[in-house]
Amino acid sequence: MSGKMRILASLVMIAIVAVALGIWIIRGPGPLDFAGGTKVALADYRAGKPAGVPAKLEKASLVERGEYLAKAADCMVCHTKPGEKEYSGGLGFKLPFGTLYSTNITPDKDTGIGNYSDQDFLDAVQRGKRHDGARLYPAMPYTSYTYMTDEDVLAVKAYLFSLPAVRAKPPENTLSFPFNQRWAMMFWSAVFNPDTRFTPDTSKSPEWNRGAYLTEALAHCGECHTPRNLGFALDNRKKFAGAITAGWRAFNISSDKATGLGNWRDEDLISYLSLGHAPGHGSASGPMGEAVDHSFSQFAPEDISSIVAYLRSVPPVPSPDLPAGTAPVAPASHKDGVTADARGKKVFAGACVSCHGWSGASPVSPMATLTGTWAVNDPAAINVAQIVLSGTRRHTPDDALSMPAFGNAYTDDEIAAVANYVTARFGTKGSKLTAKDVAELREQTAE
Amino acid sequence: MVEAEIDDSGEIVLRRITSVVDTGIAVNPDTVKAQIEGGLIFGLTAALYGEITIDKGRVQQSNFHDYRMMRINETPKIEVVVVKSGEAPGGIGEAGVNAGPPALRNAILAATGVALRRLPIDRKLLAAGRKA
Ligand code: HEC
Ligand code: HEC
Ligand code: HEC
Repeated sequence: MSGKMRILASLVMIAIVAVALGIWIIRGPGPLDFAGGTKVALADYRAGKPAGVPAKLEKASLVERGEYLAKAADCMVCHTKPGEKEYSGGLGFKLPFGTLYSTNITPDKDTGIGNYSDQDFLDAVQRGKRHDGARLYPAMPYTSYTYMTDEDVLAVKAYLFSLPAVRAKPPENTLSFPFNQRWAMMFWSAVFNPDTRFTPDTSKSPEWNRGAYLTEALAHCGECHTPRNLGFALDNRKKFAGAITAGWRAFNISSDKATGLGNWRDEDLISYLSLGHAPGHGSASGPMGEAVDHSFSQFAPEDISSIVAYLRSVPPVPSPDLPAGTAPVAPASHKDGVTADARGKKVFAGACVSCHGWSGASPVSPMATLTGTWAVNDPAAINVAQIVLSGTRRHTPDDALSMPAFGNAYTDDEIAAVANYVTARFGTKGSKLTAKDVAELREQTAE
Repeated sequence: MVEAEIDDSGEIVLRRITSVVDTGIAVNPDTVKAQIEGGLIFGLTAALYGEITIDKGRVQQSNFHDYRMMRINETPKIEVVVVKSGEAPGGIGEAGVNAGPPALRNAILAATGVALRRLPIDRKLLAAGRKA
């Protein structure tokens, strides 16, 4: 080799190592790497049964098992536009570079997935590869579903194929260049999709392993609760430390005592996941409310307990921008306490106090108690503004009180003012939202 | 007469309303006052918030969370003067409804120079007018 060639060769080597190192640094650990125990193939694991359906459905038909798993994976919410037929697609995900629409996954042959073979379906759900070979955008959480067993994915397929075919074509995506180049997702997928099935950890209990499978492969909690890295993939160095999702803040669910779940009692977590409410911690609204209504509330009680056991093991990561604790109940009279924002107080008196009270402890329903929630203690007030804009319509329990959407009747100024008032009165530190912030939040919600 | 305050974002705060009515002989002056007050609030509600929008052939507003009423804490002091008169009594039922919006519109014109030609009031026009 000549001197020049040697220099060139070493430069190429350095470049390759740098790229590999860069990818390794950006990619970071996998979702289960924190556990660190010995992994075995699922088939070799004898202590328990992490995958599949709970015991009571063991003998049920393939379609029924698929239904349980499809609900556990919450396929419906993303694949349904509000007001349209279930699974017929068309829900718009508003991204900074355009809108991406979910597709129709009913068995319609022209507009749905009626032509998908078993292998096609596995490729789409575990690898993000469409029937025609094109790549799916990671808004479809296949980097989580990749941990599902083939058997479970195909049970979901059997369930979807048992539903009526709906003819419905989603609108064309409006992504801008370069994000409209689907083929480029091939590289994203190569770096960020581990394309591997769940492997149990023999150092942990069978309950933990079941919880890990449900949480990571099916319920994809991390897709909303784990912050993203430079490549928009999950950054598991900060696993479950909280993130912004569709314009809402999904709070810290690591085991951090101050800002995560470290101080939640088991029964509170069980109640929050299965009913969407825990005394002293507030109610699940927005995307979490939907996930509870359509998915987590349908879990068998032993599956909820497994998820809780698993969540407990996730290492604590603090949220430095949240206060060290939540504020106590506010004074019962409007004359006492904070009145920083006169316009905010005026809106609150007119539109909110009848349900939430001046103290924050709701006179009408424990679900509407504001005291103790992170929503009102978040100095960014994101979820307060969102819930005022879009309200919540909860389905669990049956007689749940819902909050109406005020977004169409109140201006961005008024909504910013009431959010600032609410966080100042019921939270630790008042927010400083402006009309512009509210306008931006309006842009981010999926529809 | 309406007295109003408009801030930079085009938000309106009503400060005071004075209304003088001549309804002939006022058989029950208290009821006349109450009718005028209620009518003014109703009419000004329409001017401030009463937009109805239609999507796919259906009215989008469904209840008071998206079809606002003026609240007690947004309602200014209202003074009604009933003119003493010997004329035959006339109707007073809806007089206040019609008096409110034009009076507010003219107050806005005086304060900002913006001549509104559509109701309900578009806050953006007022914000732009104030900055101009
Ligand atoms: C967080 C939202 C989300 C969830 C949850 C979700 N999907 Fe998707 N899915 C999408 C989006 C968005 C697309 C379209 C992506 C694209 O066009 O690149 C998609 C595309 C697909 C496709 C490709 C269809 C085609 O031919 O275009 C299949 C199959 C699919 N999803 C199945 C599922 C199944 C099964 C589940 C549950 C196990 C599921 N999805 C859950 C958002 C979601
Ligand atoms: C579609 C996005 C999404 C998914 C998936 C999701 N969450 Fe959430 N979660 C949220 C949002 C948003 C909030 C905040 C809700 C609010 O403030 O009302 C939240 C709130 C919570 C809270 C309350 C936190 C607190 O301190 O107030 C818990 C606990 C929680 N989620 C657990 C989970 C678990 C466990 C899973 C998976 C089994 C999960 N979430 C999946 C979006 C999501
Ligand atoms: C008709 C009764 C009603 C009215 C009026 C109402 N709310 Fe609510 N609000 C609720 C209910 C019920 C919940 C719990 C929602 C759930 O279960 O997801 C809630 C939840 C909230 C939360 C989230 C609490 C949490 O647990 O995370 C905030 C913040 C909030 N409301 C603020 C407001 C503000 C500000 C207004 C006035 C603009 C208002 N609400 C008007 C009923 C109401």
